[in-house]
Amino acid sequence: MKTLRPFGSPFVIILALSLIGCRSGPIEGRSSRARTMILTSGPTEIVMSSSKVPGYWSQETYSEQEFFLYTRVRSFEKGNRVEVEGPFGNAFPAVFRDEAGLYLRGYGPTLVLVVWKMERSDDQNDKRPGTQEAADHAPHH
Amino acid sequence: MRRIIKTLWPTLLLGLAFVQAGCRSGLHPWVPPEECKVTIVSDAAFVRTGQGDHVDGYLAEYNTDFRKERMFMVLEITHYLKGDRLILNGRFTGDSVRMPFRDKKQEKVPVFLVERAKPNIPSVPVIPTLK
Repeated sequence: MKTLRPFGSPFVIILALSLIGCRSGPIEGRSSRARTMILTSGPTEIVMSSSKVPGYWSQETYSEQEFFLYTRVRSFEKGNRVEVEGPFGNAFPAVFRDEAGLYLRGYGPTLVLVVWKMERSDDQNDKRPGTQEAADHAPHH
Repeated sequence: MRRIIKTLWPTLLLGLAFVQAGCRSGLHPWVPPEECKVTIVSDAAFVRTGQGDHVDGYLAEYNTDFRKERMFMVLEITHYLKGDRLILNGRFTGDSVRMPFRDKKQEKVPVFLVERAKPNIPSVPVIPTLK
């Protein structure tokens, strides 16, 4: 057993370095609080891990941070002010910027928010009846 | 004896790690992305490559050494149209697809993996005014 002792410490160091190197996924916090956003695009899509992800580009009113809102609902329009709930994380998707005709692979880091609930914001001046119907409840996996 | 093992062990592990990384199949030497001006000559297509990948993209033509060459440009989002002129940034993957040519003969076309594509809008030439 004594003969194995010298092997111990380098092995632990290499194991620790390997684990650090192999860590995948973002380390930023996740939050599901409601956020007020302005949609900066109509219904569009991005691609992550060869899967098409439908949704909208948006900008948070408070921080001006850009998000991609993952939702299958296509009833919202560019310029709509919406209140969104759901967790988010960083990703490097492939995107097509409609306004510039630009295609970018590995674009990012992009904050992708999985929409649990999405509805037109109440503080919008031109509040119309029926806006609540457009609420989205994305499936939970 | 123990001291020799203690000294050599990390070096041996490191060497093994490098050898393993070098032997991994599918690992290619890094090549810088190249720029290419192309014209799309087909509608969007989903094809199987020679190495067995299934990819989305377009058949495109570009000029090199005053010759017209063809490539299959791979994009994950295919929002362009036939006839669009683009400036591409990306790499040839070494893979190819079989595409029909003019006289219905199959031709091996190299695959170009697009990282960035933007419309190629030629700027208006500056013509000096006559005095």
